Amino acid sequence: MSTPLLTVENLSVSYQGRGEEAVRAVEGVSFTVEPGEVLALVGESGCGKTSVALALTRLLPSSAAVSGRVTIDGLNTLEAAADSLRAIRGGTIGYVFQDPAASLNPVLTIGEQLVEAITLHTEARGASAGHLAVEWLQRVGIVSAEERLHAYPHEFSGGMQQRVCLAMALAAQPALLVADEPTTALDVTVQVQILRLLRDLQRSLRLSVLLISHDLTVVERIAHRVGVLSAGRLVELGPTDQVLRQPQHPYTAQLLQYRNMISLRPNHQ
Amino acid sequence: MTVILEAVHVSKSFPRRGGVLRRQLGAVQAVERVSLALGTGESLGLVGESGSGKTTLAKLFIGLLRPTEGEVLVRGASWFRLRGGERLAARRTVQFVFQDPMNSLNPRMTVEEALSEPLSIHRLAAGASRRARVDALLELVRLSTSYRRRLPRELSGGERQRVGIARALAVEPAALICDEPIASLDVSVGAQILELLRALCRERRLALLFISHDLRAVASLCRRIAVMREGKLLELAPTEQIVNRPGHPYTTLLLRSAELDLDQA
Ligand SMILES: Nc1ncnc2c1ncn2[C@@H]1O[C@H](COP(=O)(O)OP(=O)(O)OP(=O)(O)O)[C@@H](O)[C@H]1O
Ligand SMILES: Nc1ncnc2c1ncn2[C@@H]1O[C@H](COP(=O)(O)OP(=O)(O)OP(=O)(O)O)[C@@H](O)[C@H]1O
Ligand SMILES: [Mg+2]
Ligand SMILES: [Mg+2]
Repeated sequence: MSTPLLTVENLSVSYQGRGEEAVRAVEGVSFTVEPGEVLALVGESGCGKTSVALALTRLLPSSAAVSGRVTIDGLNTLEAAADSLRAIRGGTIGYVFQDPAASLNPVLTIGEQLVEAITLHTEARGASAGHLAVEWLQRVGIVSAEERLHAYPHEFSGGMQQRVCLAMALAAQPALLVADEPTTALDVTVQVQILRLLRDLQRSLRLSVLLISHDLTVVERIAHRVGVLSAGRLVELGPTDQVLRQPQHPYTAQLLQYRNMISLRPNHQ
Repeated sequence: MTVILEAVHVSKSFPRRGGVLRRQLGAVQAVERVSLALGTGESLGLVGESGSGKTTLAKLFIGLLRPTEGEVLVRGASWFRLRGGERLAARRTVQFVFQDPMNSLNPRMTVEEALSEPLSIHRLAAGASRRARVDALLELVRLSTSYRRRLPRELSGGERQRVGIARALAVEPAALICDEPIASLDVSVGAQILELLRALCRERRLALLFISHDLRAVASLCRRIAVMREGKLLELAPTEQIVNRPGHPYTTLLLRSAELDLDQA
């Protein structure tokens, strides 16, 4: 087996509340992501998924206390100097944040933001960076990409903003993509196109993905392994097939059961 | 059934700009001549691909956008002809849950303030009864009352979305427009929110417009389903019919989504 691209050991995160007791959001979580591997993290709303993702490169607010050890491509990120961290954020490690609208800059056009990501993290400059920007928008399924380059984020629909965020993260050619609910705003036809793109990159460039999703269908389609978080703890971790077919933990079984509750059969009587 | 909201041939277009100078090149027809009525106790689902005009239609429905053509009526009166007190009353009648919870909540208001504000604007409760109402609302959306003093940025994505839902329900609206309300929720919390909305339609005669790209959730909740594409209403029919005899290839594709294969071109 190759050396993991990402190693997380005994990661804990707690938030110091104002007045209230500290919130222990993540407790003793350990996992690895190999080059070219897609690892999914699933779990109930509030179980700590986003906290894990943000802790990896110290993106959490100052009210958060983080402990444990995180190694990305050899760099110990919880102890690394601020500039070496800045260098890997958006470079080696690309993020798609859970709230796409809030992570785009409202005063720059979509094209300006894409070109900035491309020139900052790749060799491409000038016109060739512009061409790449159009190409990335097309790859995430934005129609009339060339014209849309000059639009501002608020002129895009929710699902289009989400795809722009993904395009920006991928355009920087990261080795590891951390994608926090990257397909929530997308209908299935577009979702499949996005998952196909991720799979192609994972196969051709050995892109690694840490995928956070509550959508078990998405997880089933693309993840090699699945980790299940419950109240901040990793309660199960294994190959996707195994976890989704023979869940070991009662919480995982419950997740699967809820999924079957929502069916196409009308239930409004 | 009384009609609460009605869109009559509404259209909305936005200027389409291009080039570095952003000259106007034409117009994007985000919504094109849509007519749709929503009555008490009714649950209407709205599905459609990304960019098909769902959010724009929702904003027309709540009077947040002015139509370029046609009009939207609230209890028979056009949104943009309402004045003062009438408008405030209509604002209470029609509540909405935005697609993007971070932008719809005031970042400086605690959960408690966000839920109390609509109660005080519409003079619905004060003092101890307001406090009790806030607790009841938190419980409705399965949030612990210990969250009262949190700010939006101190909540997880799904928790923020649920505060948005609780805030919309605070004033006991007659109509609720939800734009992807469960997209950021895991299945267990999502199923509970669906159950809550179902009960409100049945027991409180809430008129619900439920926008989602998830046809499963829509079919399990709604009696009728509208399918949009490129700004137009492709079809509108009872759920049973959409699910069993879809009238449009796009609807069929949505229904067969589970079979879509990543490896097929
Ligand atoms: N800044 C903060 N201060 C206090 N508590 C916080 C803060 N940020 C998150 N939390 C709490 O930490 C827990 C984990 O939050 P996190 O955002 O990691 O959850 P999540 O698994 O991503 O949930 P979701 O699926 O709803 O996005 C939650 O209970 C949340 O309320
Ligand atoms: N303020 C605006 N200015 C210009 N164009 C806009 C504006 N708002 C929306 N549009 C365009 O109108 C079309 C419909 O957008 P809308 O947000 O209604 O789609 P949607 O169906 O909600 O999509 P999604 O599922 O991705 O949220 C899109 O092409 C979008 O780019
Ligand atoms: Mg989250
Ligand atoms: Mg939308």
